[in-house]
Amino acid sequence: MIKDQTNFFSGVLFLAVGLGVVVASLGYQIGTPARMGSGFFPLCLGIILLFLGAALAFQSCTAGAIRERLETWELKPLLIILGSVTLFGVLLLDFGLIVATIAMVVASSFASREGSWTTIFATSVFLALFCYLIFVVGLELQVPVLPSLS
Amino acid sequence: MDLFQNLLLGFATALSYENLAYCLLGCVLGTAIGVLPGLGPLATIALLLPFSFGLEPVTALIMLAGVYYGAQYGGSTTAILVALPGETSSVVTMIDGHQMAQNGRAGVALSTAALTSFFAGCVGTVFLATFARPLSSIALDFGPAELFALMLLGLVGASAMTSQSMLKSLGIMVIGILAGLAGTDITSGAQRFTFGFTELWDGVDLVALAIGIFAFTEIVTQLELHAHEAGLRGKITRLMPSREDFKRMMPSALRGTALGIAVGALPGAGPSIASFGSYTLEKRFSKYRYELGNGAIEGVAGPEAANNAAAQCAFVPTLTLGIPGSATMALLLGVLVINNIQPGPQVINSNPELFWGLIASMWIGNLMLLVLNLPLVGIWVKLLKVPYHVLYPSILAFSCIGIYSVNYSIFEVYVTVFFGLFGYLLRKLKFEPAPIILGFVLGPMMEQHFRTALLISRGDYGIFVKSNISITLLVLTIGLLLLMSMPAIRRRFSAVEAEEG
Repeated sequence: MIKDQTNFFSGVLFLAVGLGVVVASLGYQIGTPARMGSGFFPLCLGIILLFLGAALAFQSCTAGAIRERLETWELKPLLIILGSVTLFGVLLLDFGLIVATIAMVVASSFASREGSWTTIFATSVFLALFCYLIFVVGLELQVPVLPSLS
Repeated sequence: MDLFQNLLLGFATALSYENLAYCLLGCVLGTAIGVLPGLGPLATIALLLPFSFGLEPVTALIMLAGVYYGAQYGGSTTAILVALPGETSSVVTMIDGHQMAQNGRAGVALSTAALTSFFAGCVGTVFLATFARPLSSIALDFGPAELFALMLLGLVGASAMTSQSMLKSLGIMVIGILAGLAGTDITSGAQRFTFGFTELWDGVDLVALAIGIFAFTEIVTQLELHAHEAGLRGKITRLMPSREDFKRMMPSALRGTALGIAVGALPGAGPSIASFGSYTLEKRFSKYRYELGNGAIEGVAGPEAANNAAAQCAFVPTLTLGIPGSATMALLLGVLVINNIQPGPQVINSNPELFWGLIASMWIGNLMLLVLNLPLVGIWVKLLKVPYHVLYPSILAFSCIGIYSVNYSIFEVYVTVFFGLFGYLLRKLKFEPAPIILGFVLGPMMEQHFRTALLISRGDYGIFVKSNISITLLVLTIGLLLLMSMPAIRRRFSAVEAEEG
């Protein structure tokens, strides 16, 4: 019986990563301790991770473990924030810094229920100009500023 | 060269216009993020890393260090005025500090915090200046086996000091090391963990990892909580403490400073542990211990002195041994690595202007913070009125451009998104992710030392127990592991919320 879900799944995470690392490391050169290949050190780490994961998962099933349920996942803010950052990456080179920043700020504002459209829009325009001044004018960052017309 | 000459060199470096300006910038930013809850020094330093690439390494360090100790000052301001600790290390200050504010002594509480912080910061800086050199000269003749053992102790020590279970802490640190190994293996030239992306041949970027796991995850968590309103209570009237106040705060400040120095110099223990420890100390030894909890000045003076002294002394292991005591320190070491300066005991000799310049700048920075915090406290409090729905898009915008500017690569932006996802997973599994940065920065160096040691010994693992130094270090590591796996100690420790920095 799993008593401590949080720790159990943490253990599973370690086991999964550890397994992946061990498999990948075996594909690299292992070598001998005196002439170590690129797989030697990662292999050791992978094995350590497997042990840690197994111990953690085992511990969470023992009688002494404190009962704890996994926290609920509210995926909306996560997906909106990471999505808007991805959007920035997609837009930056073709549409330039100004458009990418405005789009990112507007998209990310869906994650919060506060703030009117005017505030959001004003923030996005202000940030776009601010970033332009600091990064492009000030720090001379090489980045397209406006959409390239082609 | 004696200490005086070294300090002269340091001040000559720190007092250049450029370095002064960046020191001030760091202190201002540090105070600001200290005041704002939900944005720690770790995330801020990660955000500022890309800006610092164009700077001289010493200038970059001066600015980022300013952010780090500036946050300790700013964090206590909001703790006292609105019972909202900006940093974990100011949670204790809140107990008596906010009580003082409610008794109409907000100004005195603020100036006590600032003055004791300044005092402790000065003592801490002197301590750092005096003991850094002897300490580093011990480590100077360490071979690869000793360095490996030292790094192992540093990593285990730092993960022992978090409030999560030892297993989780160690595991997340190992994952950090693995992330650090990704890319081209310098010895054999082979690609490791690149998943077919040529962009990963140079390895995972420190900035992408840190911003993804700390800044993005923090924003998402804050948005889930929907709680970012703060009401300001208590007017600031008289700032200067009376004679009586001074008399009462001095012993506590001295005790706090001593404790902070001792705790800060240990790898892994940081300002939070120091301030909690100091409060306990005051409760036991202060003449006015029965007033603690009801707005006693000792409850502000002790912990504030302790956390600032600890913040200052955390630089001791970082700069002298190249072993960062916390994730924030690991990021600062990352600045050195990016600038092709191998962190370690040789830094003091090979880059004296960097080392002494940083130390001198800390003293100057503490002075700046005193000025920034006392007369200007009203401005900082206004920062709390910035609504979160304006703040977080700004953080995101700076993050995005910053990450792109590291390598002029969109790929890094996507790597950051990946680590944001991973950081969220860790948060849901109740991990404290700080050890991942330590592993990431130290991991590749550890592998090198491990390899070189075994190459020298022709594969004989006995090299790790050949010298007294490495035996001592390994015994300490094992002792720490055993100690921290004892449940009784664990439980006591998890009462102390571990430091996020």
